[in-house]
Amino acid sequence: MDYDIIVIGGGHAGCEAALASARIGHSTLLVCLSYDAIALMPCNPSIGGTAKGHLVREIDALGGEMGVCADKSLLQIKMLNRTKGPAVYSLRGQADKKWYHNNMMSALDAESNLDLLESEVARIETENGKVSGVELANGERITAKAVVIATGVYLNGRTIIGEETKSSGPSGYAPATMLSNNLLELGIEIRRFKTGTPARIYRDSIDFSKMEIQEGEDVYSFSFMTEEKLVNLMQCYLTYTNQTTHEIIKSNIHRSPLYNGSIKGIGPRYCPSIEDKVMRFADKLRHQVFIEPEGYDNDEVYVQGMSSSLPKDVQEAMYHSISGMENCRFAKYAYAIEYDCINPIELSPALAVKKVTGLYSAGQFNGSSGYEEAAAQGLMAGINACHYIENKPAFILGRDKAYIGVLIDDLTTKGTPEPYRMMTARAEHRIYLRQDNADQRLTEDGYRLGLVKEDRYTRYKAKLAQIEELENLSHKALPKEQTSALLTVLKEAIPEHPLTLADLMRRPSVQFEHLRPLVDSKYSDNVLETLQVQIKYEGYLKKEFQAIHEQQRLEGKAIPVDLDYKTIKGLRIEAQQKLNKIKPLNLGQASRISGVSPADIAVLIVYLQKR
Amino acid sequence: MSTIVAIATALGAGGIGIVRLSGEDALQIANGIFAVVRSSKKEMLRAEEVKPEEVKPEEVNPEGIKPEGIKPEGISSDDKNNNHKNIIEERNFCTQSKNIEESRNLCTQTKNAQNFLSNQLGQEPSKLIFGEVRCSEFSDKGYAVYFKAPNSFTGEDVVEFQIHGGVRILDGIVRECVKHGAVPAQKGEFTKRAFLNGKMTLADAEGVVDMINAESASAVRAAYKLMDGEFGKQMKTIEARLFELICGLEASLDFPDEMEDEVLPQTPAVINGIISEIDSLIQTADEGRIAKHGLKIVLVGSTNVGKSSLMNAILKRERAIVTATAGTTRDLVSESIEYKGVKFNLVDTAGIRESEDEIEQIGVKRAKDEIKSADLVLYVKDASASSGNSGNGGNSGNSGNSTQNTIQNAKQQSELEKLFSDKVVFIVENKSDKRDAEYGRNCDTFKISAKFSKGINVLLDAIYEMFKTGGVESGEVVTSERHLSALARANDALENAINGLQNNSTDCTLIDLKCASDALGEITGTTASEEIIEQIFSRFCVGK
Repeated sequence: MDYDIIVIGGGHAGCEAALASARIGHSTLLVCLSYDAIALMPCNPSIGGTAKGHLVREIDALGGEMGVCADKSLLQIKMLNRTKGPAVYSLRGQADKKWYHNNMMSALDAESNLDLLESEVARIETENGKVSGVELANGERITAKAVVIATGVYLNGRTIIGEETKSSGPSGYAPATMLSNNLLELGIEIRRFKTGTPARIYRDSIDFSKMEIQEGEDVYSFSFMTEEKLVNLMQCYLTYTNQTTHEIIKSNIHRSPLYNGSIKGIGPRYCPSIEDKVMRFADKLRHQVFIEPEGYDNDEVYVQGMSSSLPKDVQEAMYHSISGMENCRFAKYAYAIEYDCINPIELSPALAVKKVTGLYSAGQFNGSSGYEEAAAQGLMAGINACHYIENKPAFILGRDKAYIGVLIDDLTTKGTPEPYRMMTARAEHRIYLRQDNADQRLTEDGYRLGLVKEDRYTRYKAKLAQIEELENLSHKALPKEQTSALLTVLKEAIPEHPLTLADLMRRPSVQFEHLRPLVDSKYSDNVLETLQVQIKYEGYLKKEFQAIHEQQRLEGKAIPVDLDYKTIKGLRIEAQQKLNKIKPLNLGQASRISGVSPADIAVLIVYLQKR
Repeated sequence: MSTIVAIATALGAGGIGIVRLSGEDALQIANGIFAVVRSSKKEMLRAEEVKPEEVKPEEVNPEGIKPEGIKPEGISSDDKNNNHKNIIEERNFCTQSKNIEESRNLCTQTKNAQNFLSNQLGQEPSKLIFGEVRCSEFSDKGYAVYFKAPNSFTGEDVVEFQIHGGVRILDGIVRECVKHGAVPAQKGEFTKRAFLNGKMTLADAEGVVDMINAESASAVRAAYKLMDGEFGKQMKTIEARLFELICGLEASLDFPDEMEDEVLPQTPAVINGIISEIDSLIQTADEGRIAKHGLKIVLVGSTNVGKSSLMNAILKRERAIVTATAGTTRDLVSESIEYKGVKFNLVDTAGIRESEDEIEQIGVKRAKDEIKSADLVLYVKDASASSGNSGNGGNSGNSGNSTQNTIQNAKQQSELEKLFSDKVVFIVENKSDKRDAEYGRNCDTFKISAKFSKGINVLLDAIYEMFKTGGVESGEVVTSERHLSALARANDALENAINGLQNNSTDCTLIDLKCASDALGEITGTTASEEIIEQIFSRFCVGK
């Protein structure tokens, strides 16, 4: 064997997969088309955001790289949803794209088990239905026990700007043109998805005085291992489209390949192009446009909210109609990109391709979208490729354990009709799956897997001890002068009996910043915040744990993977077909398959009992 | 696990049914509504007075079940004992015994031991225990059996009630259990739990598949029918409003930049609006149960005023025995008719009077119990008696002088009227032929002659009209205990949402709103979770 594991693709999924494999201890090769495109951020220059921020924290808690790498590359950070409850607090950071690439390269270089190779994979080699290696475009063969596909949007990539289309990967990089045919030969269903990105504009051509400034905030960073708070280095700006912009779009809509039918791929609804927004929500008088830096010393900015596939002359006219952008110059035009990807219901919850043993896949190839979604899957595919080689049971995170679990379960159980984006609305146990407790949910697993090293684990244990310590303290009465002073500030009545920290935490009017002065500074903000959430939302958390507990009873009932559902009397035909396609691992997963009714599950229960 | 409750026997058939509770709180909930009746010495003696030669003391349950052979002849409608016997045999609780007396005997053999027990269930698992179910609207005698986990059908703590009466009583018990903390069971949930606890045997599994499929098909049909009506329309409107709110709030969480707090300010007003709509649906619940199961009409009055004659006149046949002797009707006589498409469930009762007769006493007590669950009381009087408001007719008295009689009658009458002071009452002056032979209605008083079938239709029309104007006909009604419980839970969750708003936690507000939405979904059959994400994108311009 040349390598234990080969990872195809060096994007966010590929990097995490390769690092996980190497860190667990397997010889790993990462093959990519261009070293320059490793950990490339070809769309927005930000990491995190709603639900995605949760994913980054979870990747970090498991010992993945994204959070660490992001923290080293940030220009600005803020916590979204501060007023909407702890379950949806979400970190979003603006990253310097070049720094992110450099930092990730350093992380890859630091792994002795990991080699990089600049080449194109043409074929997945198999023996008796099992992966045996890959064949490169030049005919060279490299053997491996497992392969992870993380080709992003490169497979048969095609970019579209108005009437111009060309075969291309993102940001002008070459596409991969050979692997798709091989995958079809292996019996894998290939689909065509589409996504897009707005124009890049020269910073010096924008009049920022006409825009609103968007500042960063004084908050902790993504990674548990980053001790210092981030210094916000740069600002973002907000401006708006107007009626003139909308008129330009409407009068040129016939030239949009999305509207005249020349784009066939299915695009994501949550990333609508500006023409989509204008046409579908005609009553909206304006749309937001955020100007975000591409990098600290980069002379280009990203124009968020203005993704488009209209021709260049229309793009220029509409961008120029926006306040502050009247004289802007284009560095790159907005484009749409179509690419080949797999239908994720061909994957097991371990992200293994069901038809080819030893083949795993992650990221946009699996029908998702976003850097964070890709990285999360890359990490999991890497871990499971290792477990496959080691003959260990698959490492699967439940929907009640992590957003990563929700993401992968959604993809592999329900499939997705469009590029899948993580949303907090998809997580039914949202109040428990918070970004503040990601480490409590996952670091123990990461340690067991060999991804969390001693330094992180020791620090994690210390945090747990601190939480426990502070919790004990929180039931002791506080000095009356302290609590009275706070209640006076809040204009609340002062009770006769002394108050504890826990009492204060439960009061709706008491915020985190009110508590900070009452608590010894040796307890970090994160410790205090976690405890506050635990106490304040005790009732909701208790209910959630009950719901989780009930659901786990179904999750715990395993179904044999070789079951032929056609032989089960009483199942409806649709359920038989869906179940045969998905091959759920347990009754919980079976119950989430669309087209499988509660009655079908009851039939299945009876059948399993009879076996 | 929550504790679930449902009627375990087929609806509509027979006068005996089983209500099953399963879950860790089953025993506690059961004890909240069921009081064990232990035979005391006094009760045994009383029982001996009834049938000293045939009934052994330890077999007697003083008031609940009447021994065979003491019913007036011809009263055969009350086949509860037979049903009970069947169920006992079917369930095979105690023994293979072929009749109920034997089986009861076996079940209560340890009578002496029981004398030292409290009146709580739970000390004697797997044993039928006699007692009384006490609900807010009625009480009834019957059996309860406690199966201690894991020795039960579901493998959890289970209590089953075996109770007289049809759907109304059983529904009432389910509702009472829900009040005490149980949740109405979903279709197949007992089976599911049985499986999850490893309790299903091969024998159970056979045939269960067919049952599940039949049940789910019938549930689909029932839901379709329900949602097709006025009630369905109202449910859909409520659901849509709640759904819109949830989508708006969800969108504001996942797309904070774009949503710019469009939804939050209106949230309390929208929630309060939904609460009051659900409230009005809950208020129609009683009419709803009437629509489904018919109207319960109880005929009460003193002895020999002609209740049984009226019953027969309405039924147009000789159903109840009518004699000139006061106190002929000693037990309940139940019969149903359909009048202009509405089901009238008529219950003839024993005339209320003080009596030394043990059987008659029991009959009187039953009459009083029936009044508690009546939708309408027909208070029957003898118009031919002096002054027209006295109950006791000329033929009735055989004791003491007439002055004494009148005083006693007046006392009995006022006591009787107390029993139905909170009920809808029609006063029926029977035997009007003997007075002025004028028939018809005057407010809530009806002059009739049961003997000559005069004024009967006026009375029936009035009942029908009352029924119709009660809002029942429009169909905007809550029809079952499950629905009522679901609506109540939805409103509880919405109240929580309102209370939680001050915490500035949209995430928690959404937990409550989704809880409400799930509860409504149990009625309408829709599950919102998948659609929320769809709707976010079609309703709001979000994403960049």
